[in-house]
Amino acid sequence: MPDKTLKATPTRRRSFGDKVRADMYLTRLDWHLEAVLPGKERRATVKELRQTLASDPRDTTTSLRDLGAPRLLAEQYAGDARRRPLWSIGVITAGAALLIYWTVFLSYVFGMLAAVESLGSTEARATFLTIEVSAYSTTEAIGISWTSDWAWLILPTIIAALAFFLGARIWRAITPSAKSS
Amino acid sequence: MTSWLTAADGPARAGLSGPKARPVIAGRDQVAGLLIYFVGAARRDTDPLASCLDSCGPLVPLRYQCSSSTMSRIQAQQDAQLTRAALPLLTLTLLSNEESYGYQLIERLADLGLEVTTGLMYPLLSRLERDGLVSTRMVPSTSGPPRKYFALTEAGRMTRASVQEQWQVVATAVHAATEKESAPHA
Repeated sequence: MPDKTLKATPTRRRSFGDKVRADMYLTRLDWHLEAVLPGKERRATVKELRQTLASDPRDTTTSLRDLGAPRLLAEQYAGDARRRPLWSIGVITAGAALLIYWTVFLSYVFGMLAAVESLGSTEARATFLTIEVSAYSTTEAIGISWTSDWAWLILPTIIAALAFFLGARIWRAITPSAKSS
Repeated sequence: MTSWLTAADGPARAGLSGPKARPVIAGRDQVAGLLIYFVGAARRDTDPLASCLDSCGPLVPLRYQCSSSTMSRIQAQQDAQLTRAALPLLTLTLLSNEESYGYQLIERLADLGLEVTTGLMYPLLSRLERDGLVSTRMVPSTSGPPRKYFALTEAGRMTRASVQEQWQVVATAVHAATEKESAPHA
């Protein structure tokens, strides 16, 4: 039976910001737990930790600091040396890579458009990583365009796939027992 | 003279600590500490002596702790490893006395003078449960969500006895070796 003589540790009331921070921490932990625990066990671990955090008498900052970095905490939960692919982190990495690609691409094209307007010319053409882009500015219209051939789709797909491969550590799925020795 | 620092000066993340004791620092070590403080202060905004002590663990002479950053790093790693090695036995022992929830175990260890982070305790309890060494049950709490209480199983009792035996063997060997080394040479 639980010891009734031990001092009671009242639960602290959490603000909305505290709940968001705890949720973000648990989400990041969930991503890293993919490497060490199977799905059902991972969800149970996160659920249990959520309840534990809710009943922790200390403030959220102290509680989260005491738990440590999500990646390191996830490593502590590992039952063996086997590491699984990090699918969620792979998707996030791929999304981030695409976002960076499109930001650079659009910055390049809009830069061309600005140059066309400032120079007073009607149209400019260039190649951005094998994709032909153009910017035009006439009295009737202003705009940007790029070719709709395979390069427009293939290049971002390759970038996203590579980022997913590296972010998810796909090789762990190919050689699951590589680290189990 | 050798000055011993207790883990009150060490970090919670390093594991062990003795919160009630205060360090006794010899004059020579104070000079070394001040040198480190001022040299470090020129390089960092943070309190370098505090961070040096912070990265050091329990029961280590100050001159060894702060003689070099490498030594401190090695010491901090050793402390963390020592805590990890001792924590299963400590947890199984506490649970053999009475069932507890995770945070309660940390409080009970703190009462014994050992500071352990939740980042070490919760995964350990999860692993012990996975291995069938502890059983669990949910107990409603008046002050929040229900708490998960852990109790030792029969397998846990056997494991605890085995681990304790191993610990005694290692402790005896370490004690014998250090006593032999520290004895004055003829």
